[in-house]
Amino acid sequence: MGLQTPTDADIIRSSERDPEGFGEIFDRHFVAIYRYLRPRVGPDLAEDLASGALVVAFRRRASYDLRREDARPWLLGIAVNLLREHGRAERRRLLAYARVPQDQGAYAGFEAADDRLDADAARRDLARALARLKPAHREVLLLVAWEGLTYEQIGEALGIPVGTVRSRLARARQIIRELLGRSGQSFVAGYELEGEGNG
Amino acid sequence: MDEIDLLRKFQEGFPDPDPVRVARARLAVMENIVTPGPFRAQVPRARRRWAIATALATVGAALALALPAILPNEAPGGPQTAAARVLDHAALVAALQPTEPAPQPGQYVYTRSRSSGTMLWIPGHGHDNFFTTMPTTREAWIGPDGSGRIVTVEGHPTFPMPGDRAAWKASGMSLFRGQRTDETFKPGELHYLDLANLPTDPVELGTLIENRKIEGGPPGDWETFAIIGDLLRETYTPPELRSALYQVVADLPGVELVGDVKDPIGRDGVAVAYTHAGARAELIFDPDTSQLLAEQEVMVDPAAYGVDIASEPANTGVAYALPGKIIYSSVYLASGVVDSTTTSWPT
Repeated sequence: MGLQTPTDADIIRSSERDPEGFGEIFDRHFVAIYRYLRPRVGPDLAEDLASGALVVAFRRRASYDLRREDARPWLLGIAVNLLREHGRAERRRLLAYARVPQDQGAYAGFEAADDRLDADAARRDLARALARLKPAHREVLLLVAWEGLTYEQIGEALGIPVGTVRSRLARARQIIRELLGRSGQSFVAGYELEGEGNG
Repeated sequence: MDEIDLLRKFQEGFPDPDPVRVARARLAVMENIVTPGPFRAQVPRARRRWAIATALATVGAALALALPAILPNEAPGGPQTAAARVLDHAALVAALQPTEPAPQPGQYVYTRSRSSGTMLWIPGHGHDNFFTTMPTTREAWIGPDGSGRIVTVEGHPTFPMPGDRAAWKASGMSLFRGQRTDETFKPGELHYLDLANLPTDPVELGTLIENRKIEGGPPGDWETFAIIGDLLRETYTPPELRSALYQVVADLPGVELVGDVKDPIGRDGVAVAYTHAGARAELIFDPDTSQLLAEQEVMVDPAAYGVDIASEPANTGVAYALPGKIIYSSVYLASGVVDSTTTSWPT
């Protein structure tokens, strides 16, 4: 190790004796996990889930594969598991973007700047399309688009084979393209979508 | 532009978390790491404190709120000894209450409460800011194994001042109403405070709390006051323990007696308080049973709290940020040990 910056794996290993040192993992990854969750569940739940993921990660650190230098895929996988229990909250949030007109206000306080959305038509369509995807498809798509993870990393994060990552990604992209191509006519009222199953 | 680029742009439209949010999250995570236990995101106190912090905060003041300075305590004197007297009486009353059996595995501590906080909305686009008061009803079932259920229902927002309603109308915003959440939790997911085996000797109990052996947290009398609130809220507290807790509060420097009050739904109570970071946190209990009836926060010093009164229109709910106004309240409506997460406790 020497004077080199310790890897995530180094920190996780030494956090066995030095729990406080795990704070470095927070500093490296919290904002990224928050940013991954924030558009989907809002700032408060994103904060709770990202924090929760780091706590769960700390408790499970003994099972971390120390050959992986970068812990982010592992942490995102934990966050995604926590997010699953909030599937409805996510759909509600995405559909809310789909129907919020541009000049709608934002909840004040910490969120004042945070929640202000540039809700142009393209974004509304995209939010609506995302809400329509099956959660498993959506996850793979967003881990590629927002986190830039490799197929292998996504496989590790979600506990699925690489082949499944590929097929889900292809399917998700195709569905998004179709939905965006048809937007404007087929999805007049975001409200109607809320009644549908989660796919 | 393909859909991956579109998605990236979509995400980029959301700002990074502000430093207050990150600092707060780090504190919560590290507290959990250093003091093992179920993750506490669902515990009402943490939420409540943060909700208060966000409630009246104007943007620039947020940092001051989330990282409150330690204010000097009130000089000890008459009010404090009066508070101690009342609390000692409450301790005696508590000790005389009948003991309800502690919850067994498969049972739950049930609490129904209603809270109400005043929030500032910033519509932007040239519209005036306005305040609403948002009531939320909460039912919590928490089992000894940390499993349970939490149901919250948002009530209709009300407007503290006519100017608030007018500003809301002008903004064209729709406020969420009646939103209901219903979450169930597997064992270990909720923080169950096991108080059945704590010492009931006030000195011994006080030492454990002050050394943060029962709940973690930073040192200081304000924190001790807050922890005692935690131990009384949504928990099973046997009478002798409640009695000891009141005695610990009685000995805490800086605790003042507010005296006889009506709680937010008109019940007679006695309030003791601790002033911290511009607001006075009050515990209101029933003098006849020593049960916690309600809690509220009363504005003392808007500047210390982080509210810039001058920047808000005078005819809106900024009046609620004036000294003496109740800025948050939580009323305990029913509590008891029940056999399932679908059983409520009669009021």
